[in-house]
Amino acid sequence: MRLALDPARVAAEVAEFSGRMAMAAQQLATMDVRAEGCSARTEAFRIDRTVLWHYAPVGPPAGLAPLVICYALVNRPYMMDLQPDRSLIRGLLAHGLDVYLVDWGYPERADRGLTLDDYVNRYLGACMDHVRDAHAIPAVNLLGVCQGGTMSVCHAALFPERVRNLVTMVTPVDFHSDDNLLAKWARRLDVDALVDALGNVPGELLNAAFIALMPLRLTARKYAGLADIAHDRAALENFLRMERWIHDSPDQAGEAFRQFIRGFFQDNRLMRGTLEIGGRRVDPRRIACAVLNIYASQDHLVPPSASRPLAGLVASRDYTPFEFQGGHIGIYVSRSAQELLPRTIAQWLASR
Amino acid sequence: MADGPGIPFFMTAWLQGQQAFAQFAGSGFAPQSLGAGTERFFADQYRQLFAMPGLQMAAPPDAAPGPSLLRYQQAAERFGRLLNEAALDAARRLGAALADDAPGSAPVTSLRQLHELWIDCGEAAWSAVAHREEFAAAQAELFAALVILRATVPAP
Repeated sequence: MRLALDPARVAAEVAEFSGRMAMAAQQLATMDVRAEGCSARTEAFRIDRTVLWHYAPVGPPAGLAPLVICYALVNRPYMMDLQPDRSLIRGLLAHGLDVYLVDWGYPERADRGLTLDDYVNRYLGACMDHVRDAHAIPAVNLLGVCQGGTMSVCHAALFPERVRNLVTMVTPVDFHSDDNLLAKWARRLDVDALVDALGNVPGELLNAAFIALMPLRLTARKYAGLADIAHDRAALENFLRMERWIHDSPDQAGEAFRQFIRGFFQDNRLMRGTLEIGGRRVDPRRIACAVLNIYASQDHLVPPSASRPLAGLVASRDYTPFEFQGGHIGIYVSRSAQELLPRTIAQWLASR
Repeated sequence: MADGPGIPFFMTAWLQGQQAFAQFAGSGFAPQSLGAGTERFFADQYRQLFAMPGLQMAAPPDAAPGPSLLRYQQAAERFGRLLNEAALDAARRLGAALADDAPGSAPVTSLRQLHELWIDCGEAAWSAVAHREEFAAAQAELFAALVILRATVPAP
């Protein structure tokens, strides 16, 4: 692969690239992109900072039990509904599903003592109870995303009677698989020093760690791509909306963070069957409902090796793995995901 | 995070990287020119990983008590050695790729192609180092030392 650069051509390339980047930067500087979700919704319920959103239907109802989406504590849940043509929620609504979304909000200093018991049992439990009561049904469908999927598995194990069907998306359950770089790093983390000193863990610190997983691809390559879309205002708006989401990282409630790092990343207690939340043992073998486990083949944050072992953890005889060809972000916003994932989830739920 | 117009703050790091790349690209474009400059260029990129937002200190770290400052300096030196190792490896990979005259290998005819190759080599070298237990330990120690240093720095 020898270098065959022609100085005149390089000079022209540099000039064109610089011009495009200047144009992109100029447009980005004047764009006012809001990133908070795009579909109509109402606040159905609130407990402390946690809000349960209920989405307005957009198509004829499918007649299925409502679906509660439990997002991660890391990053904001509007990724599920980023913009009209990139919205898992909109796709689910189009298939007639009745969709709720758990939004944990932004923890503040006073929330440093919140624990996994608060999030998994009290807040998620209250949201599940609200939907069950509102629809007068004993169990609802639960879709957990990323860390929210791990929390959903725990909730389903602790309260199996509340969960009709469980869907997990890019959800880690085995935190000690060899190719899980984030877990390798977290295993060594002195989480006590971090939480004791800081209280809540800054979201921007976590974000820096996520970018460090692929530091050149997630900065140099991505931003060089701006030159390719400098003339496309809509593409620039998409880019900016996405960047805002990536960098919109809530601080993490200190105690919950400590428990999550220690219990999952360091001790792998869910896999080992030794996890306790709120003084109760979390036994995934109590999960007997149908399970759809969706993971992404190129996921650098939650590699398939971290998600697939769910099959061996649950007691369900109705377990469906689904491998999406893409990465951790593409599974939410790629063009292929927009049609494929809502249809897969809706059809899977409809057949149960 | 506040919404609103303005140059995105996250582009700063990228612009710094582009300056480094421009310096590299302006160094003659010949494989034989790949040397200390290229290593420094990769090292500058990796060194941004020293920046740990959210852990800024209220005063210069020199104001910290000796033991916590010494621990931080040792941790930073250990972590820096690994970053330099990755930078050396990245430069070696880039040099090897550009020296590959195998029949059928397409020549690099544009800066953009060179940029892509640079990223691939940089990521491969990074991944090789970052997956080592030694790296995880050094990174964790740097975190801990920085947190303790921050806690012991007196407010201005």
